[in-house]
Amino acid sequence: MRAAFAALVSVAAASCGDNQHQAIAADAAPPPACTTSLSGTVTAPNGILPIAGATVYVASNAPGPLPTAPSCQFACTPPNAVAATTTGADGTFRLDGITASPNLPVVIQAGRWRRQLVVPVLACGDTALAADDTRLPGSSTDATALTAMSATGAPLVDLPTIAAETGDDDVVECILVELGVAASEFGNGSGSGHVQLYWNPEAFAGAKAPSFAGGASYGDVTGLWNRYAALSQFDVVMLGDDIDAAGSSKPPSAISAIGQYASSGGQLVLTGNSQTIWIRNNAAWASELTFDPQVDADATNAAMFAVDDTTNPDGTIYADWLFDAGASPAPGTIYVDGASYQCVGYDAATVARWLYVTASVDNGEESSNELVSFSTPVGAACGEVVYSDFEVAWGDGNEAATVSPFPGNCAAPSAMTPQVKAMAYLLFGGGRSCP
Amino acid sequence: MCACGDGSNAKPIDGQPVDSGTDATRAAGWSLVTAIPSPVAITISPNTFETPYTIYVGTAGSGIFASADGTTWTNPGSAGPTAVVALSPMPQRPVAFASLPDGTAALTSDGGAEWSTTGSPPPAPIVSWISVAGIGPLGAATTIDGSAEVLQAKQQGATWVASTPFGTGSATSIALGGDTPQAAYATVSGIGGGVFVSTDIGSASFGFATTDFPQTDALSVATAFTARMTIYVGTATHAVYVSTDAGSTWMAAGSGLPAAAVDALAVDPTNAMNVFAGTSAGVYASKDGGATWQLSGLGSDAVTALQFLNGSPSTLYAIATTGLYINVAGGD
Repeated sequence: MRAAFAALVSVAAASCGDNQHQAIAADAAPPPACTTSLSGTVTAPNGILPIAGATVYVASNAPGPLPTAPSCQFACTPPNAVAATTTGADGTFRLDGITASPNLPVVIQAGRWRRQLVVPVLACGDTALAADDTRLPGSSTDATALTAMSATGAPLVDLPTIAAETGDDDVVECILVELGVAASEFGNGSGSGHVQLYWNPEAFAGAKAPSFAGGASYGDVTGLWNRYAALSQFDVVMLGDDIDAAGSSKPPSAISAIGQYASSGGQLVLTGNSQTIWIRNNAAWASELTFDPQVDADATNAAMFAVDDTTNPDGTIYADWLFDAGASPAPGTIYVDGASYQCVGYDAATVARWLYVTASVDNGEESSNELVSFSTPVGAACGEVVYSDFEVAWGDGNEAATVSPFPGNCAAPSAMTPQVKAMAYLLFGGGRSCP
Repeated sequence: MCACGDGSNAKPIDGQPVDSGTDATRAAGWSLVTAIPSPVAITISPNTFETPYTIYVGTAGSGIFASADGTTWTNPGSAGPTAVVALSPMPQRPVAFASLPDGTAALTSDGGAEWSTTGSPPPAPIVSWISVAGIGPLGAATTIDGSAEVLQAKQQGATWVASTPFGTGSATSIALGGDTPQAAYATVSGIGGGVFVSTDIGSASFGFATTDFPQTDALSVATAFTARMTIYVGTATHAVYVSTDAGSTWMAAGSGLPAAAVDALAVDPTNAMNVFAGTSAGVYASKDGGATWQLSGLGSDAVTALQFLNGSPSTLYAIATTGLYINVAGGD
């Protein structure tokens, strides 16, 4: 760097009054061309999982609040970006074309996770951001050394609002714990945190309600999915496999409310075959996925799934990301526990298939589509439905909050399983289109 | 320090620049902001080029004026300090600091409607500030023993961390610079004066070392963030010096500057070759890294502070004997 700046001015030997120092010549050369850049690795709030496809940009002015959920507006390159880039499969980025500044406003965003920074960026070189500063926030108070703050000292960070219905074996709330969302953000349907937890009393008839360590029970999910007004408080609604495959707790009014929610911009995440009813009974969605409920679930054996990197345009980066995230034994493959094999067909024109499995006589797997998503309204870039044919948070240290109160029932972030990582990609906006 | 009521005594003032100057020595590009009497200090918060921002101008006895657009100004009256020595934004946060003639400091977090004293006063009166992302505001001060020190405000001034003393004389200014985000330059005027550098301002025990600056009357320092090895220093009687190697060697500026004290310097945030000097005989500009200088304007005034609008090379404020001036043509 010193050599580069040596040409900034030309120096002429001269007698300069009383100090005999060199004087600057009038034919001073202009500054040399150089590249100023910013780099780092964006991770989930847990600081472990790299985030692919996150947007990193320099803002010309304050980016303003994110839309109130649900909304078709998504994490596209914002109009106030002076320079922007996206993270690669390993979460790394390098933002070129920026101007050196002692206080450069930088925004990191993945879906509706966002952190605003003020960064001192040196000229003619690369400024590497510390890992803590490029972590997506795990709470509304998650400040780092360079995080911008409001006048009152609140860090300028955003998290999506999430409703999570715990499943039978599929303890989906533990996905969020493993991703690094702080315990302070969880509530039972009436709190102010970003994540509200629910259970389905009808599906767990006679069972003790799952509860928090403080004793409060999870909220009743039927009060959530029966009302669009309740659903619309959330960016993401996760419904875990809750046993109620017959759908007695999911009347037509709920089917309608859920459909309206996703079509208005919400992200609906369904795990396990008991939640296929939201798709099967919705006339607008029923043709997207084909289910065969006669196929037996095989929840006891780990199965080798393949990444669809041929029909899914984002499949290649997804495969690379799974491998970089330590979820794949070999690129394009992943072992998954707790799978059923009921999603036997999909509309390739509108559905993105992420993971699939082909029949294996030896291991008992059936050919099926194990992780899929489609935009809502179908074919439009607004909301999204994600369906996994496996129980995402099954086993591996996670257990029901009826057995051990939340969050003690969840495994540590370091214990993230490959299938949790596989779903996390979509929770951070992976593969989602801009409107 | 202040009554700090509900801010209802804030007075909107029409500060539309109206006077381009009748004095022949004033260039047409400079306009007087008539609302500000006897200004002494200026800063802009937040110190990024984000909007909205607030421009703060402190005066010698009429309080601190604030404006979100450079046109309409408000003054909190009794909810703010009367006189100011220096102002600073807070890094990463729309909060502004003011150091006051009695040695205390105040801050505002509501755009200047109210000011309150910091949790504890700085150990010594601060005469110049910098705002450093990830570190905090730092102020240059003179100890009771006649040395300079730099004070880092913690928890918005609840506590202060002082550098080891350096130089002999009065602290005059401070600026970020050098080849790391942890580097800063401070100037001292006096028998042991000069330019001093620190490369660890973020550490718990930071210090400043001499740069072997050839003069002892350093009054002002400015650095070019687009070429951070470049440092400009203004002096009381030796005009301007330039270093292009982070202070290892110094060169006297070229022709065109008057024999006048250089109390203020500002570098174009987008071009390190464009530098402005606030002197006791107006604003001078150089477009060749200090090799040659021309009068920009306000030649009948002593100019004691220069401030570019955040990130903008086109809007430059000057605090002069006759008031606050604005130039929206980059000083031309």
